[in-house]
Amino acid sequence: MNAMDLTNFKNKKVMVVDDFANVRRSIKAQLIDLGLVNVFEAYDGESATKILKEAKVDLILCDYNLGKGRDGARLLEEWRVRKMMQQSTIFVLITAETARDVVVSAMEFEPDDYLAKPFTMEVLANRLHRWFERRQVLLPLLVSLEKHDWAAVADASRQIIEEHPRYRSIAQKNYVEALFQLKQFTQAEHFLHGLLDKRFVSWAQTALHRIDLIQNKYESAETGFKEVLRKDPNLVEAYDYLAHSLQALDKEEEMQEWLEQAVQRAPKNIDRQRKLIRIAQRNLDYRRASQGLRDVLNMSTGTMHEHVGIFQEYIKNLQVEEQNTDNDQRKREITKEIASVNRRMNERYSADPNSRLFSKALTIRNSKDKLAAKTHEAVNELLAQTFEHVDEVIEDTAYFICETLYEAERESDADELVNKFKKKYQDYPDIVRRFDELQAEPVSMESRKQAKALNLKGIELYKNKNYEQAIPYFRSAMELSPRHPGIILNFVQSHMLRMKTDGIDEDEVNLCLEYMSRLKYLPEDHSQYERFVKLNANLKKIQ
Amino acid sequence: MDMQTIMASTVHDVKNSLGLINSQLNDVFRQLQKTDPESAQEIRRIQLECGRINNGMVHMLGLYKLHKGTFLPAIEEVYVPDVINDAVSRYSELFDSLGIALTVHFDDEECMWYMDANLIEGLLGNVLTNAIRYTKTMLRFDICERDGWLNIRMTDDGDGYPEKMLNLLDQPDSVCFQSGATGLGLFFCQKIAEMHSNGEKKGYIQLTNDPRSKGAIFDLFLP
Repeated sequence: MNAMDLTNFKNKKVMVVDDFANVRRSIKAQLIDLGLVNVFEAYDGESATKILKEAKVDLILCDYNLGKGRDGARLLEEWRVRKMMQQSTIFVLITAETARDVVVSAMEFEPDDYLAKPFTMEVLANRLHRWFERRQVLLPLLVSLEKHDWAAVADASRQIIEEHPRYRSIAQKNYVEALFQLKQFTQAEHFLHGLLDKRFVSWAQTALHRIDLIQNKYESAETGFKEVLRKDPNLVEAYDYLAHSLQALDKEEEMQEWLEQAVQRAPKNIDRQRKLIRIAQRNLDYRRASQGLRDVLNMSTGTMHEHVGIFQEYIKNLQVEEQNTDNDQRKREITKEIASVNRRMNERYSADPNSRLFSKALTIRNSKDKLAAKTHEAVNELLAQTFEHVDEVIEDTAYFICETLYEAERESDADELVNKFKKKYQDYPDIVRRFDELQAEPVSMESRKQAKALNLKGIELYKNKNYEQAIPYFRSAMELSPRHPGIILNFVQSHMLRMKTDGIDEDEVNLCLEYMSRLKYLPEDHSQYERFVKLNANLKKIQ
Repeated sequence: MDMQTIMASTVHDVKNSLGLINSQLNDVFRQLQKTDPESAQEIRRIQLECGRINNGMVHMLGLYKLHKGTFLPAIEEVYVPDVINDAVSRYSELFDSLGIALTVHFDDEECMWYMDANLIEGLLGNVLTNAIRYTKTMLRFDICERDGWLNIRMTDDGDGYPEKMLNLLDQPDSVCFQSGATGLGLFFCQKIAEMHSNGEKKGYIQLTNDPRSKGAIFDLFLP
């Protein structure tokens, strides 16, 4: 077949997106010389989106660098997430790099191809053939993939592997993913071993260790992913799985180090950045979290990721960082930064109750005397307005307000609000867990961490039946984190067991009952609820 | 800002400018093609030099990243004819206009192999732009699988590699700035080949002269 013969494709609709008019014209002229008749031009995200809505475009040739606003990769992401692009549409990213840059490529949505500029007409003709043929072969697979019809994905993949070996690389990956989704792990393992017997293929080796991860074999998953990354440090998805294994193994500092490496390689992946931020916060590395949040805030400006919650998260983290640093210069920087970000948020989201309520809570937090009548009045106002806007309030605002209420020692109001939000987010277990954690430990991350360590020491002594020695550890843990169900129940249980041998002491029983009353908020579906009810009944019996 | 960022942005800007120059040259070429074919030919020569500057920038950034250990290939199983066609089609117009016959021969037309397709395409393009300078009438690609290696061979009918070049690869890491041609491009090719490994085996390149025709033979072996 003559590469320049494009008669089969002459009616395909092509859109060229580039901010330089002469580059656009030049590519369009090449396409028209090749016989294509429907060529559209767009100069930025807005104009491209408009064309995409109006015409059923078959191929998009989009420059990576579009000047101000969204770049090509973010446009692709947005169109895929918002389902504005049909699966039959081919997206090609034009870059100035010869090697496809991992910085660009390691995003969740990969373009169908990269085209390095400058390119000749023959290069373009060649690629056009390839793109359209490839799409024709892959279409059934892509359509099933979009529908999450995994059985169909497996079938379509197998068919491609057998009939179109030149596309088997992508088909193999999807086949394995489909088997995972269908929980056919033995079959997946067998297939992967078949590939790996021939040679080391990093994605296949990674997939094999994902089975370890699914089967909770975290140690062997950890070793496996590290080995993959030693051989292929560019496989960013392996960092995510390794991080997952490390988290399960409670190696959170190491987890941060690995995520850091992944973020350095692929800084544009916002989800991973956020994972890093969260783990940095858990590790009390607020400086790193601030830096990450600033990056995310800047990166998301003008894209679908831009959100009032990011401003809030950043401010909150800056506050905590400020409380935890001894560096006076940094303290001053932070104060300035908070004011500026708060202002930016209120300008950008002036009509949004989230920015208003958040700023209100921020003022309460900054007030010197949290128990003063004036503060009390402000808290009442905040509470009333929050109840008014429960439906519009987002997770971050909600969390911040609840936290503010606990800090102002308004526990029952806070509990009421937390329960309201838990109900609102009942379909999002991660969010509910965050609120559960706040309710159980409305204290700083640092106190939580210290309390956890003390609790663990207590448990160790308890296991060795040293109840007498365990009790002070649980008590100290309770001082740091007064509402934590695990700690309170451990404390009470140790007392009960001690009294079994040393005899019942009425004061001790009453003390335990008093601590137990702190757990009134505990919902029935809480993992510690049953234990709580049992212990409470036993206490009442001996009272 | 670190050195890599500075270099990457400089290369990026220069390459962007080159891209603009190139697309403008394409417009001029189109206008001249019918009225003044000779000048149009000149434009193609200028474009070839643009391509060389482009390669130079890529080498510089690539070698810097290599030095820092941040240059790593993304190896996948690819359809080999696609890679060869991509490399060749960037220059075929130029070959046509210079009257050089370019042919590609596959032992197996459906050949699949593991490589970083972009890096190998760049490597071949780099070798091609050099061959254009030295060959007389033809350039031939031969692609075959041999004892677990993929061999991509490029043969021309010029006067062959000078002695100095033939020995260049025997002295590891000896980029010789005194010998006129720096061999930097070749050094980079060698490094890219080496980044392709399979178990203990590492890719490599080899330069020889055809004993009969005296033309230059460039061999790339990938495990």
